Amino acid sequence: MKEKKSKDQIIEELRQRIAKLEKLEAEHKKVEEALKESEERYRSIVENSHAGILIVGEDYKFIYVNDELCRILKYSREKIIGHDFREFLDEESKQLVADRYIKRQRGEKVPSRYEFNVVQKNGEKRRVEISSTVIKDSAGKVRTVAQILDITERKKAEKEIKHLNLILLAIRKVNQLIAREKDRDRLLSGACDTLIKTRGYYTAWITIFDESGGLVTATEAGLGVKFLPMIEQLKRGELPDCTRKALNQSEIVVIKNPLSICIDCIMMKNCTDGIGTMAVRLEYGERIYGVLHVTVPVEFLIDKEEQSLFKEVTGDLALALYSIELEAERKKTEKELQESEEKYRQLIKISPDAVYVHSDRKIVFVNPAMMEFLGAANPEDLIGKPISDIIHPDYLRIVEERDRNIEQKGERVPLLEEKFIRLDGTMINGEAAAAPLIYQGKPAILVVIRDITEHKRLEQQREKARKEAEFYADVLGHDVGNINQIISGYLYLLENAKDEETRKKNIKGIKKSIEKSKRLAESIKILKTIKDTKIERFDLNKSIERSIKKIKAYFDREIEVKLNIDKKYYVKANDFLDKVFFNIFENSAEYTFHDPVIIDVKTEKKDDFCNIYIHDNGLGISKEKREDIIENLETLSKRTGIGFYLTNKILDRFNGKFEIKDVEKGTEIVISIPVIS
Amino acid sequence: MKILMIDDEIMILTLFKDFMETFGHKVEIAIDGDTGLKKFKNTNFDLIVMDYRMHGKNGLQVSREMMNMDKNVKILFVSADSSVEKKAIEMGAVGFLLKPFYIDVLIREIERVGKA
Repeated sequence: MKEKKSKDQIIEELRQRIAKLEKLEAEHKKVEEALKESEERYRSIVENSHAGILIVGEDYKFIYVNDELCRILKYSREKIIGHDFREFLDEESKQLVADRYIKRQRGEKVPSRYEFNVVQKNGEKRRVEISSTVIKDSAGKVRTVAQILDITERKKAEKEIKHLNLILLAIRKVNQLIAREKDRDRLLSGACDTLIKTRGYYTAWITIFDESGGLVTATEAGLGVKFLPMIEQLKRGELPDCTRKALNQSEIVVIKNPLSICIDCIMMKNCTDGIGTMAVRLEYGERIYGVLHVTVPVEFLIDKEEQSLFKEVTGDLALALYSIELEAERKKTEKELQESEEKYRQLIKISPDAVYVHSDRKIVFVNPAMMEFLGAANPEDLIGKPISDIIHPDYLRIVEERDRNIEQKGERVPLLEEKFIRLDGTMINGEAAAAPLIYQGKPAILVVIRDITEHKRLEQQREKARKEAEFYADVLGHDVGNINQIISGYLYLLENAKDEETRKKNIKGIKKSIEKSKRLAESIKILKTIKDTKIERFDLNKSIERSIKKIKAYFDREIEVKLNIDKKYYVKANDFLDKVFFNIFENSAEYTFHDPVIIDVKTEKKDDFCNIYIHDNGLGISKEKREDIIENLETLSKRTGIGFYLTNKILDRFNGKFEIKDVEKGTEIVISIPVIS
Repeated sequence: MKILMIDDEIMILTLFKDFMETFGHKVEIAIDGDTGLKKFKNTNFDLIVMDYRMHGKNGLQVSREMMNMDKNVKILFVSADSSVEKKAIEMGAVGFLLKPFYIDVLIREIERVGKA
């Protein structure tokens, strides 16, 4: 049974309950204050957030937006609260955002963070990033709470950076292309392709002109057959305005809206809204090669960085074109040089003139004619030899002087007649010209030699013929003149002869002169024919005997010939040998002014020769005259008469010779003739 | 006159010697220049009759040496070569006879030089 509580107990219980309530009230107030404080803090955070914060109800409508979201959408809060969030999205974003909104409300798992576009009050689209979640309110209703960031500028910057990176990539690839591609057309085509493939530019085309403005080549990427009409136009010399302008200025030509500016350009139909054009000339130094055109999103056109990179590409391309041009020029020159060198190599190879090159005074090249000239079988026989080995010592000093002149002045030197030493040690005449040369990268001297052996031989022949002509003229002028003079003298005396004896004496003198004249004519004839006469076994002894008989008959004087013949000799000769002895005996008689004329004739075998010593008691021959006679035998330069010259020629035909001995009295002549055993 | 005749043709020498001597001249002969010069050094001659072209020293060389020894020497050149006449006269010869000539021409020339 429930005991009844006392009043005091009840009061006590109430007091305790009131105290407890008061405590609860105090605690509640404390909590309320804390909550109020907390709300204030969070409200402040939300209201002052840099992110747009929103709460959307179950009906797509905004329940709450903060100031930042209002700024993002450029609407007042009143115009947002209670409105469907889809009204603020572009068409593309509406479906996406709504779909995720629904799914999220259903508790399906969808990405909490993603991007979409909102449309501001002024119609401008802004890219935003949303981070959303769902909560339930105190009434259990689902609420979508989201935070939105305007990332339009960041996205734009990212796009620009991406684009610039693409351009940088394009530059790198173009530079790689430049580094490896040495063909102009492939370079230009590759450059256009690279600029397009890296997605930096929509289209790219390059036109190259010659110095007179004529189209050299045009290439493109991203245009294909659409570019063909432009090529035809360029071929006609009709340049689009942007090309013409770009050719005339170093700055980039930027056309933001080609659709409204390039109305007359046939390329305009390839443009769409939002695409601009850049054109800049390809120039290196003072050389302008052509123009690079690109189409690019308009938003990038005004970017200085973009323009700078574009210019860099064209600069690199122009440098590459210059390099290719230089390389082409170098190759052309090299080819021409090679062709020229080959031509000259062939010329030198087949040249009849001997050619050699020496560097540091050593032979480094010889042609076949040079090998033949010096009697070398192989070039190696001469290569590496010092030039002093092939130049006659008499000419070495002058040749070295000439070489120094060539080296110092770099000029060729005139022809010089030189003597060279063949490999077999014999000498050979050559006429040499020399000039400076770079051979295998080293300074060298080119020497061209004309073998003048034949020329010299002909020259000697001509000189000999000239001297012979002079000799014969001299003989005719002097000897015949003298004979005529003698005949003339005897004729005068004959005409004035007072007695028979004088008359006979003068007639005899005339006859003798005529005989002398006859023998002079015979001598000249022998000189002409001696080399072709036949030689045979000939009796030397009898030849001497016949000549003695003839000389005694010719001179009306006392001539005593003392013969000292040791044996019978047969020699290889012919009748002209008689003439030799007669000439010598005649000289003995003529230059012995007193009678008797004594002539000693002695024979002696020496080796394979018979020496015939003929000595007289006449005037003798002075040393000077003797030297003249000997010299005249070879050179015909002295006036020594026909006698000794004829004697020498006849003996020469018989492989014999004669010598005028230096004796105290009279004259001694020694004839040597090969004997037949 | 005392005459020295120099010629390398012995027949001319003997012929002219005989001929000139018939006219009263005293003639010595020399077969070449050196022989002539030797005689010239040893004897005073009124006239030198000399061939221009000879073996050894030619007439021009011989006459120069003679003129060095005696600048008044009288030299009459004889030669079959007409081209040397001018040279002979220029170097001081008193006369020049072109071979062949009639032998009396020589006598007349000798007389002309002797009177000069």
